[in-house]
Amino acid sequence: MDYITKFKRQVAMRSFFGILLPIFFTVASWILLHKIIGLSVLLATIITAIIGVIFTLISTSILVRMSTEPVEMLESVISFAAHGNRDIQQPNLDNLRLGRELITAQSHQIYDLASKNSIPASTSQTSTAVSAQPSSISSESVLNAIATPIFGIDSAQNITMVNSAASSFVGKKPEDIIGKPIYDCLNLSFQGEDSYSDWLTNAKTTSITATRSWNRVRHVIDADNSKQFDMVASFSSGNQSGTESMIALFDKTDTYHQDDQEVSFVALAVHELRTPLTIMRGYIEVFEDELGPTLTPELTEFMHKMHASAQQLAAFVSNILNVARIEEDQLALKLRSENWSDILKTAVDDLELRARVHGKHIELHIAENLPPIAADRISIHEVINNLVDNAIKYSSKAEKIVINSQLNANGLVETSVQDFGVGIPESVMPQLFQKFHRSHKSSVQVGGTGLGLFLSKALVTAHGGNIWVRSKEGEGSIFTFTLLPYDQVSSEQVEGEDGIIRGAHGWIKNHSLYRN
Amino acid sequence: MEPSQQPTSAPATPKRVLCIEDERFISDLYTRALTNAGYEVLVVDDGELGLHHALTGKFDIILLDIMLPTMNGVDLLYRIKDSTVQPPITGKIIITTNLDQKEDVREKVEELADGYLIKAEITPRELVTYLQQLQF
Repeated sequence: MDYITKFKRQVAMRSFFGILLPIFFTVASWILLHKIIGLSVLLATIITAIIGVIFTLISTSILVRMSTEPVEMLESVISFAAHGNRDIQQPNLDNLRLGRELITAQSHQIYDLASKNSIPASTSQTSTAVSAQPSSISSESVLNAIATPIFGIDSAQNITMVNSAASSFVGKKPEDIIGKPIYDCLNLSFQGEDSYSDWLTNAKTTSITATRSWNRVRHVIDADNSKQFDMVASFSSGNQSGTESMIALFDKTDTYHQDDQEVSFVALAVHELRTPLTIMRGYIEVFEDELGPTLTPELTEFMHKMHASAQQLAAFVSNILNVARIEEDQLALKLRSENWSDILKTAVDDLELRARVHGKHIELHIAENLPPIAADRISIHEVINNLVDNAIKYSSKAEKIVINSQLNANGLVETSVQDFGVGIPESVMPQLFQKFHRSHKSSVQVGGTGLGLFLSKALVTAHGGNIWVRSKEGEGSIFTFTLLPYDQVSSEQVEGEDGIIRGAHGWIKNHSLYRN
Repeated sequence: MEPSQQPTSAPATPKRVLCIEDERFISDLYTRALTNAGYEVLVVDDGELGLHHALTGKFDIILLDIMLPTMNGVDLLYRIKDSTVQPPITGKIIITTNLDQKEDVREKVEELADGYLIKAEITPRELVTYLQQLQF
């Protein structure tokens, strides 16, 4: 017996009794009132009619409730299904007195249909009929609506999925790209050390999920054409869809091109500072040369102080520029084979006047057996400059500054700059090579911005060397740095290049002042 | 840096220098120092005029600033070194600037020029010493 027939019988049964019972009660009441109690026919009939009407009303309302209950239940099932199972409590079918089996079966059918609609197993366009519901928009149509190229990649580095922006970016149809190795479609080059494939290799061995973003990724189309992107990649191991990683590219070609053309604020500020400085240094030199012989010793001393200060200012301005370069990852050195003794002597010659006007003198000891070193002349000159400048500043009353250079036990050229001044409190030692730091104890009488040691460390490190300090309060400090013999780094020499290019993290340095 | 102590090395005919520099005080200083050292100096204070003289006058040395009115030094350098310039300019081109270029620009500039000097880092006397070291 099917559910519908059973439901009909249930309804027929209840209707039969629902009609029969009032009739029965009405007849029984009339007999009771007339025959037993002895009321007149008229009175008994009136009372019986009233009772009959009441019974019929009760019976009708019970019948109506019972027979409409399944319909109401169906309605709430449908509305429950339509609301995506969220806002309404699921109807309880157990309380149903009529047609429970029928309604239960129908409810299951309704739930079934509803769940099929909300999960678009087939992404065919037929599902757009229900697209008014947010849950029914296919992920593919979302991806295609995004104007940013997105690639899905499997564990073998083959493309599993592209959105329309990606296929038009590559200039091929999706079916021509899918299944091809990603590196065939994208010729990406990364600024700095970590490329996408480096990151992916690392992510595969160490992580279950990982994300990473890059700036200024270059996509080389041909020799004259390239685009610049910001790029985001995410990795998720063992993804069941087969897509292991995703790449999204954000075109920044115009922005970065503009940036590249722009002279940075620091470069412009430095240019403005240097122009009057050049002029001052020029006229000071003219005065020194031509007035020098006629001046009193006191005025000669003033002239020297002026000269030394202008020199110091020029060095400081270069420091600012170089620190800005390091921060922008734009500083690079060209290491060449150099005679260290020559560089050191030239640097000390330049510093002699500065030391003298402050009442210091520099003792220079250079060992004879030094091999040619790998150095960027200008940069390493700046290191010596900064270390000696510090020694002058922090010497207090001591007059002597000692520079020593020799080959150490590891075959490196080790150079130290020693002063006999105030020394460095232990508390500031850990931050010494950081930016904008200076000894708080002597901050009143000591100038400086704390760029010098930060810069020196970055430059020495870029040379492949090390820099460190030993100091005792009240006794002075020794700053020591190492440089590598050229033989040790010459393997890095690029064919056809005159020098080895090294960066603080990547590129070419400052001014090659003497280029012969 | 010591000035060259070999006045005998000065050639019979003085070397001609074109100084393309818009900062008057700087060109005055350079002219003074160079003239004293036996050079013949022409100062030009804008790019277009500088290009004209560089192409027409026969100079041994061209001192070229980068931030210049009417045409900047980098463009000027490209114009002078353009392969269509016949006969090619043989004078040594020394960039004298206070502007530190981005490295990619700088590399191209250095490829075409014979030297790159930061003006604030050298005095006029040091410039003379540097020019005396150039190989002709």
